Order: sequence, then C-alpha cells, then structure tokens
Amino acid sequence: MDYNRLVKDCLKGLPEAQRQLYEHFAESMLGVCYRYTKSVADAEDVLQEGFIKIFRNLHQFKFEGELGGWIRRIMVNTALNYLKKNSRYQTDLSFPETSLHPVSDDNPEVTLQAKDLAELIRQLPAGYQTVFNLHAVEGFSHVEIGKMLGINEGTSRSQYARARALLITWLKKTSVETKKETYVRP
Amino acid sequence: MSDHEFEKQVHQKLQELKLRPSDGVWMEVQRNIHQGKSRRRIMWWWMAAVFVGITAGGFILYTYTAQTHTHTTDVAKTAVTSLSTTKPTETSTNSTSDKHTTTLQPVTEKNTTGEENASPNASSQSSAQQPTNVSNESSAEATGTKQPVIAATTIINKSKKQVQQPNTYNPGNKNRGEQTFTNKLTYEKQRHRTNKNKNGVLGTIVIMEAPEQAVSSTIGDIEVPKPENLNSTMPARVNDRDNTIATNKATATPFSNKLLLLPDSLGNTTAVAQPIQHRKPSLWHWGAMADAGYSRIAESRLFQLKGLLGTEKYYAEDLAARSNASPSGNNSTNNFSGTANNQMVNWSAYTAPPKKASPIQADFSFSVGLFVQRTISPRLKISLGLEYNYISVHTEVGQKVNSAANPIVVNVGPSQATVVKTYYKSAGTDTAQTISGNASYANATYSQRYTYRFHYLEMPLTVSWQINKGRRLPPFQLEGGFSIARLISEDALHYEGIKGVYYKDNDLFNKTQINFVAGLSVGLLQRSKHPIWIGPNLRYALNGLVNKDVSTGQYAWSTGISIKVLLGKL
Repeated sequence: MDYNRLVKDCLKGLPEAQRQLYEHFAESMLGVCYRYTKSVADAEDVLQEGFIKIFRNLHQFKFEGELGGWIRRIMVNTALNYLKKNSRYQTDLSFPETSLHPVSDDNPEVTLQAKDLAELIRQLPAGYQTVFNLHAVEGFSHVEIGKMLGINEGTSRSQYARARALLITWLKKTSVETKKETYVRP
Repeated sequence: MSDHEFEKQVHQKLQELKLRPSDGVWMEVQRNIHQGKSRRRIMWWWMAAVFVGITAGGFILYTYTAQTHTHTTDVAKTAVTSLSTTKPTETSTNSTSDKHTTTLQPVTEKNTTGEENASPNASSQSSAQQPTNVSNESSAEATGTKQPVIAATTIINKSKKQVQQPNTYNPGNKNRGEQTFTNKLTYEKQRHRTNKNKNGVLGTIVIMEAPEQAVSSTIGDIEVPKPENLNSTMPARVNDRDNTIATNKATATPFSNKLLLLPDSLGNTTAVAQPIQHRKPSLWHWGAMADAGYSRIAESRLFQLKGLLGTEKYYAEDLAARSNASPSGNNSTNNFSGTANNQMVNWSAYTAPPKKASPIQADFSFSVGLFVQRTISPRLKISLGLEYNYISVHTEVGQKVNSAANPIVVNVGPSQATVVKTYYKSAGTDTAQTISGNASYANATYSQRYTYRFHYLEMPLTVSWQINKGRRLPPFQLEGGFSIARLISEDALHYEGIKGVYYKDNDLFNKTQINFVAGLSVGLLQRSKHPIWIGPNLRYALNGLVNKDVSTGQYAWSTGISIKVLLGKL
C-alpha cells in the first residue's frame, strides 16, 4: 500500500482515503489499546480518540518514518493519557518509588496465543501493565518510560521487574494447569 | 535462553494481536473529524468578529468622547473651512449673501466670545474661564449628541450577538458501560458467526455478560486461576483482581501497599512503597494580546480618573507656572529676541495672569504584543509580556508660527528657559480673518486640532486570579500588575502659559514610564487549544509624562477592551 499517497488523499479530505487508512490500522491499533486498558469499551474509546488525533494532526506526519509507527506512537500516548485522566485507573496507576525489586533470569517459553497472553497482561495492576507494555512490547527504554509517565527510571525498572516476575509465575502456573488438564483428559 | 528471550517472545506474540473494533468507532471518528474542521473555521470567524468589534467599539467610544467635548472653536473652524471650500462669488448678490448668512450663523452665536477675543488680554481670561459651558451648549445645538450614543449602543449589541460555538467534543461510547469478555472459544465462535453474517453490523469482538459461575471459566487453553486455586505466593490483591478480570469489570481497585510488602513469587524482598506524583502538564504557555480603547491625561497620580465620563476636563499643564517670575502683560505681541543662552527670563515687570491652555481630550489607544504565562495554581497565573503601546490625546491649538529668525524664549519649570523657533499659538489667539484674509470672519477665532501621540514599548508583569471555577458560568479572572514602558517616539507639545504658546521639546518627556495595570476578563473557548480571555482593562501611569523637574504631574492612562489568546505551550 502506498502510504504516502494515502496520507495525501486524507489530507485532501477524501472520505474514502480516510476510511481506508482507518480500516488498515484499526485492528492492530485496537490490539495496542486493548493491552493498556481493562475493558474493550475503554480500548475502543482510546482507539476512537487516537484516530481523531491522527486525522487532525496528519499534516504533521513528515513522510520520513513509518506511518504505522507514527500511528502506533499516537495510540500509545493516547492510551497513557486516557489512563491518567480516567478515574477508574487513577488510583491503580500509582507508581510506588522503590529501589529494590526482584531479579529473575527465568525465561519461560511463551506458548500462549497472542490473545491469551494479552489477557494475562491485562490482569496485571494498571501500573505494572503499563510499564510492561511500554518496555517489553513497545520497546521503550526505562529512561523514556520515566519521562512518559513522570517517574524515576529506577521506579520503572522496579515496576517492570515485578510485572515480569508476576507474569512468569502466572505463565508457569497456566502451563502446569494446561499440562494437568492434558494429562487427565485421556 | 537469553535474558531477553522472554521479552522477544512476548513482543512477537503481541504484535500479532489484532482485534476488530465495532462500526460505531469509525462513525464517531468520522463525525469528530468533520466537526473539528467546522469548529476551527468558526473559531477563526469568531476571533475576526471580536477584533472588528473591539476596533469599532474603541473608535465609536473615541468619536463619542470627542463629540461631547466639542470646543467653541469648532464652529469657527467650520466657518474657516467653509470659506476655503466655498468661495463666495462677488457677482452674486442675494444667494451669496444668504449663503454667508447661513454659514456665519454659528459665528454670530459666538460673537460674545469673539468680541471678548478682540482684546487679547480679555479674551485669554474669558475663554479660559468659561470654555466648558460655551462648548457644551454650542456643540449640543450644532451637532446633537444623541446620535453617537445610539450608534454605539447598536454596535455593541450587535457584537454581543456573536454566539460562542460550544465545545461539543464527546468521546462517546460511554454508554456501553462495562463489558466483559468470555472465554476464547466463545470469542472464536462468535467471530466466525459474525463473519458469516454479512448483513450484521456487529464487530467480531462479541461482548457478553458472564455469570458468576463463569468466573473460573477457561480462556482458550488456559484456565484463569480461581482465587482459591492461587498459590500462596500470589498476593491477595491479585486474587481479587482475578475475580475482576474474569468478569472483566474494570473496577478501579486501589493499588495496595500490601502487594509490595508481601514476598513475591521468587521470594525476594520488597521495598517500602512511597507513592510519587505524576508529571504535571506544562505550566508555561504563550499567547498574543491586543487591546483597544481610549487614553487620557490626568493631573494627579493614581485614581484621579478625571474625565473618565467626559464631565471634567484636564488642561495642559503650564510648565512656566512654577517659574519665579510673573507673567507678561503684553504676551500676545511680545516676541523676546532669542538670547539662546537658556537663561531665565525675568517676567517680574508683568502682572497679567497666565493664559490657560485648551482642554486635553481623550483619543484612541491600542496595544498589541506577546506574553508568556506561568500557572502557579489552577486559579493563579503570572504572566510577562512584551507589547507595543500607542496612546494619544488631542487638544486645540492656534496658528503655527515658524520663526527661525526671531525665536522666542519660554520658561520651563521653576528655573529653566529654552529657545523655541517653531511653536503654536493658543487657540483663539488669532481670528479667522488673520488666517484667511477675509473680512467677513473678523470675529471668528481660529483653532486647529493637534493630536499628541506616544509610542511605547512595554513589558507588563501581571498576576491573574480566577474568581470562579468556571463550571456553570464561564470563568472570570481579575488581573493586576505593573508594567515598565519605554518611550520610543512621541509627537506632543508642551504649554507655556505666560506667552500662551505650545512648543515641542522631546527632552522634557520621561523616557521610562511605570504603569499600574488592572483588568477583568471572561474566559471563552476554554476547552479548545486556544482559550481566549476578553474584558475591560485599565493602564495608569505612576510617574509623570514630563520630567518632574519641570512638571508637577501629567499622568497618562488608558482604558479599553483587551483580548488575550493562548497560542501554545512552552
């Protein structure tokens, strides 16, 4: 797909181009929003808000980087703003400042499907969930995460380590349960 | 397996995650895109209307003020103008005489003044003592002062009709409420079902309310752990959350410190939790401001708003009033040969009182500039600006005299004198006949309007306090502070009452002014990117226009409507 042409058509205000841009990225972007929120309704709210921002600020796209990356970044920022503004997340989105955190070299194999893995991540507390998503999935460094969330780099590391440890525990447990079930079933 | 293998796997898995949104999302997006465009267009029209309204309001206010202070000499000026434009033909008899009679009718009414003006000394006294009554009566008769009031009211009402476009952005979908996910099997089935149903409008994510029994239902191949199934290393809060997640009720569970104080799954210790604050939004903004209104000059320092309603008049200060000498008795004809040594002229031989100057009346003022604003608290802000400020006043002066070969010496302050080669006589010193050479205007006094213009570069430092929360009503804020202004250039005159002359001397003006500024404004479009504050403002000089060595005080002040627009964050 010729993204440059698509963007130019969108900037001209062509509804077909706008619809095409939306259709092309909506599913993957809802996947992004889904990982940061606790309900599909919230994820769709973020998606909607994010696409409104995208269309209103499309003229700022420089045609230098990847369009998907630019859109993804807007979605992530929109999701973070949504979490901060939404009262349902505010109390849960606190980042306790800690200096000690669990250190684990455990790297279990992830056998779950994407949807199931996302479900597990969504069970993390919102603070853990956000930091884990930003670092493990989006690839932001802890320094960048600190700036984005207004927390210390160390806090980000600590939150991530806790999230990771918790997630690995759950993964192991679900793996064991699955094996048991597989064993019993015959 | 490397340290980052887990992250790589998670990253790869989650990159594959795609969910189809409901059709309502696109509809909302589409609606907001078009709404945003029209809203921006309306905002620009609205700003243009406000600017035009302010300019028109300032102009009308200025015009109205000027008309209510019509001077007696206006009539004489009209006569002189008529003379120059409609020259009476000598051959005509009745018609020209009628024309003359008609044109000179106002002059006839002013004959009392004109006759007094025939004697220079007497004229200076009478015109100085009773200018207000004569001018008000004559102007009311001649022009009728009701019309400007009606015009101003009409235009102000029109400007009030500008309707603010409400900010109607609504994220929408709020009525969907809490929605739940069921297990993957249900999800996949419903997805298939939806895909097959081409006529349906539902997305492939099907939201179903899960009964309490479904709390422990499996998600695909995995089983979401029941609270009782969780091992002891799992924090209690996580168990609670499992219930939440199983039903997918995204409740805001407080993040308990208990979670951190318990040992985690690896048995490591945890630190004490100390909540920190989130990063605040940017506290610095910048914007543009403009105001328009009218300006005046007062005799005293702060809050002697003389002439605010146009009932009182301020007369130009006589810079020679504090001189040690007494004024001349023959000042209309005295042309002291310029000694050019700036020595004090001895007026002791003269006893006649000084002439009083013409009233100084309000004129147009405006300012434009930029400012930066720092938010101290939600209601308290401080801002620093850089503005160009123009203020003006006008008065009536007499004939201009260029007398380079025969300059005059004027007293300045208590102990100085200066030589001037170009000056203006007092209004009414000469007759229209002198100026025009027409004997028919022998009794008409001559005057012309002279506008004092001051151009400043100003730096205001203000603090604004928002009075109300601005929820039901728009927010109102009080503003107050000080500004330092640098005089860039000016075109203004000084008055010397002994000789009754106006002259220029730029060195006598204070180059630096300290002003008190205050205002009340109402906030509009507060939810937009460019909120606007609009309302009346006042600027009052704390130090005089003229050096205090020679002046007892001339304080410029201006008032008008100000508009501030926040343009962005810093």
